[in-house]
Amino acid sequence: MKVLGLESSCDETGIAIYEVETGVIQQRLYSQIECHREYGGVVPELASRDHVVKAAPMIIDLLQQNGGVHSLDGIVYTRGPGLMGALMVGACIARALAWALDKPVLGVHHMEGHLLAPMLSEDKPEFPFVALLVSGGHTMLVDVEAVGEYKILGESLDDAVGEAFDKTAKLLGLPYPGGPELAQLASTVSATDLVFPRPMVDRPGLDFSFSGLKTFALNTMHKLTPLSDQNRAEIAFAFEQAVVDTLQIKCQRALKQTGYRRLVVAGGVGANRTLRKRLQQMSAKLQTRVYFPALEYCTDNGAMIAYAGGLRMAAGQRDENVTDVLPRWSLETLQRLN
Amino acid sequence: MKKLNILAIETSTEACSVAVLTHRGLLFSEFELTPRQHTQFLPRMMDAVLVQAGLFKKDLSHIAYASGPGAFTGVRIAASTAQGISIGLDIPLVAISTLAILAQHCYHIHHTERVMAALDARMGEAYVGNYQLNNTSGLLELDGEETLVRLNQLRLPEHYFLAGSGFMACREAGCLVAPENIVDADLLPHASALVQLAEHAIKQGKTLTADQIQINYIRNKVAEKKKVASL
Ligand SMILES: Nc1ncnc2c1ncn2[C@@H]1O[C@H](COP(=O)(O)OP(=O)(O)O)[C@@H](O)[C@H]1O
Repeated sequence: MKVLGLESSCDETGIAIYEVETGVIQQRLYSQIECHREYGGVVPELASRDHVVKAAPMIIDLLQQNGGVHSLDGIVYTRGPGLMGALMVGACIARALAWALDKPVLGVHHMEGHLLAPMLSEDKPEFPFVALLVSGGHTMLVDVEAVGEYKILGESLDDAVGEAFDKTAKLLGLPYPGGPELAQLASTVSATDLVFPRPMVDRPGLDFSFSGLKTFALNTMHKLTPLSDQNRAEIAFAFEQAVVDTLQIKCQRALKQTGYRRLVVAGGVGANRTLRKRLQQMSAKLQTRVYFPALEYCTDNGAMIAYAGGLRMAAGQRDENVTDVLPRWSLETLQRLN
Repeated sequence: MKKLNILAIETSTEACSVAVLTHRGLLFSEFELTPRQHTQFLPRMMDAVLVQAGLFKKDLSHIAYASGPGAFTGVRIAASTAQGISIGLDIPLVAISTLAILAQHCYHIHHTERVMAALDARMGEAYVGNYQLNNTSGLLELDGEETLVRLNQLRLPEHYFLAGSGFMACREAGCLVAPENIVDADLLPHASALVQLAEHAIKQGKTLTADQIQINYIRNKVAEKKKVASL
């Protein structure tokens, strides 16, 4: 089974071809970051406009390099969650392609794509595992018993981690999306007297809250004004430490609660080196294992959608007469794959 | 070369329509008022016109779409659907202005040789284009440019028939000064007009590949640029 996968839920246009039996995956990715930078955030209408221009050339190129359109057995695409207009572009291209080819089509859950992305590595985790999903739009801990069997253990009550990184970076005057820039700035110092709170760690449960950290950063800046470069770097450092500590404490709790011995980290913030290092250290101590997707599969991409969709399609799943997209869609409603 | 069998899709307003024009010159079309449900109706309507025309998908030689202006998401539904079909069947696309389709459809319905086509663009504006009959082709052609105009600054040219939701918006805003018998504000674009305009465009070599997709939103300012906050 060879499937074409389309991802267009936010500001990345991702196209991939995945062959289920051989595991061979090829992908093309276009990031719209530049287009949204001057607006300081993703503008949904511009994202949709860009998808409709960028998707087709990548599809054509990928098909040309990989056996042509008739070598496909099916088409999969991100049906949600995400931006309505952006999702619509990928969905329409995918369904029309399937219609034209008389081939099956299937809508994929974007977060399931992220959850399963570590499966694209040589060293794949076995089920069950705890997944920490940390991206620009989501922060959640998920109990992954099997493909499609997901229970949300905890999630952010306000800002997503990536969002908190981006907003704090913006306060520091860093260009959008500031997450990686803030991390870079933080890496220039190794200690500070500034202490940021660790939100919600003193309370039981696995939910997160990150909006307070951004406010704390703002108040700290006001106190220190005028800010020196050293101040800025220390604020970035203290902020990152607080986020990483909080995430690590909750991950540890989730492993204890489920009794699982594997932790999978997915989503754009999974690229953060400090977080990676901290979770590695925790795993060594707890004698558990932590898995990270390859960097190219961390942020939004087509490969993870082609993979998740390919698995489901190979198991016989199809969409009959699905004509909508789902900007909001709970992971827990997905069908278990056997 | 493939025989000319054109499939046409139009989803830029609250209506959704599909048409097919066969190489024998037979035209079949489907039209529904489907606000916010275009993606639900489109596949069924495409299947329906093909059955009526007795064509298989592989018999299609071109896929035509209404390329705006209109509702942004609606315009993209037709454009991206056309891209999928183009790649799947390896056939070229034809982009036709939604205002041109509206004007041409008006000519079919009301036999009006001069049409000012206007679509409601919300926020007190309308997308507008003036179209005139070309006697050789039998089709209405754009005179001047398609523009975005404030409703209260809309200039009505003499001897033109007024068609489209833009005039509804005008009427509601109280700035339509025209006798009722030269206005059809309820008229919507129709794929039967699109497919005829597409046939003409194809003969003039005006086709595209999927990676050359063209959409004319006209309204291009959709967000304010922000200054990055700094302390
Ligand atoms: N090294 C990093 N440190 C912190 N945040 C990062 C890093 N790299 C990326 N991010 C953040 O990850 C987010 C993007 O991740 P992605 O999975 O594409 O999320 P989404 O699709 O939800 O926006 C952004 O908020 C970005 O700032």
